[in-house]
Amino acid sequence: MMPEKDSLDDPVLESVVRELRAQEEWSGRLEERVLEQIRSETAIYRRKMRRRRIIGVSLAAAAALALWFVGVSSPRAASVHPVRFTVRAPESSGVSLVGDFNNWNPGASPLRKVNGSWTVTLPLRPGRYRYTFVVGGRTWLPDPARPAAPADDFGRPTSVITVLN
Amino acid sequence: MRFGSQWFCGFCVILMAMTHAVPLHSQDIRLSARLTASASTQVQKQVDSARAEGLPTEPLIQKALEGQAKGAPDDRIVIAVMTLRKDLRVVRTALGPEAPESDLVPGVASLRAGASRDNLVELRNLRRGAGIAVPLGVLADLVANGMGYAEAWNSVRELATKGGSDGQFSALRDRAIGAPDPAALPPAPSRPRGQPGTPSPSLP
Repeated sequence: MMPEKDSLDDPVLESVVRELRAQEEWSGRLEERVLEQIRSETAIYRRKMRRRRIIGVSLAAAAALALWFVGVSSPRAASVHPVRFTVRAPESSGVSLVGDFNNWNPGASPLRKVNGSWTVTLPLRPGRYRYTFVVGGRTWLPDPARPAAPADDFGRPTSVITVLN
Repeated sequence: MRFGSQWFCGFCVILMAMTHAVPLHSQDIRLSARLTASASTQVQKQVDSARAEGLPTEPLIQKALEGQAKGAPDDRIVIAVMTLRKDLRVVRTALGPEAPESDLVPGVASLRAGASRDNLVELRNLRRGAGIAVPLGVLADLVANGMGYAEAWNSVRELATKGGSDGQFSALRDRAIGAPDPAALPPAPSRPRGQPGTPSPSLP
């Protein structure tokens, strides 16, 4: 048996060996690249999944909020009734309506003048409301067409309306 | 964030939404915008206390805004709100924690008209399942518009005993004090309206 030598005399054999060694080297790099690629794709996949989960949770939360809003608002909206308020004040330059339904804000519900009468229609939910007219920005006038409110803590005339279901 | 944490957060948001815990309670902007700083702070304290007691807060806010609109001094506004909160508590105690909020404000009106706690309880027992907001309001309106309390109470109790509807209670008031209640009739455009300067004959 002949001893092994690092350098081969046979050029053909030498080229074969060189080729085999190159393949061995290439094979090692391939494995590394494949692993690297797998790692990279796994990271991308995880990022995608995380993004999808966040979007999913956000959508679920938004849907819940929307359902909550619809659930809360719909029955109320369904039971709103138009109620007309009218007062006769032909000489007045302006009349407004203030009450529990508009935060007692004189600017919230101005009345419109029609043939000497001032009128406004408000959508009201069932309930009991205290209110009054403010004529010319100064005079507080209760609604003569409806009952006087039982008590007034502030010494001004007030009316009351009950909106039924 | 991990998968479990994300779903936990999502679940919490959904739970908050479903239990209506989303709105945060802070200083009511209507109070701070319309009242003086001092009055606003004091009224807000009443509102917060009422909320903690499970009482409706909107009537208190409306009472304060009403006072401001009518030019009442701060102390009068605060006293009116405190008194209303106290009366709401009395009515809540009489009617029980399960009483709907809609019954409490008319309950206060009837209390101020002279109703006793026993009257409130009796009316609630007579109207089981039907609500007593309208009968209580009618009771208060009858007294406020000139009828003696005993007569008003007897009329309301009699109708409640017969199982009268809310519309029938409104009709009772209209007959007694002569003021039509548009809510008990068809929508506004077809309604005839009263004229100022010609108050109902039975108005005091």
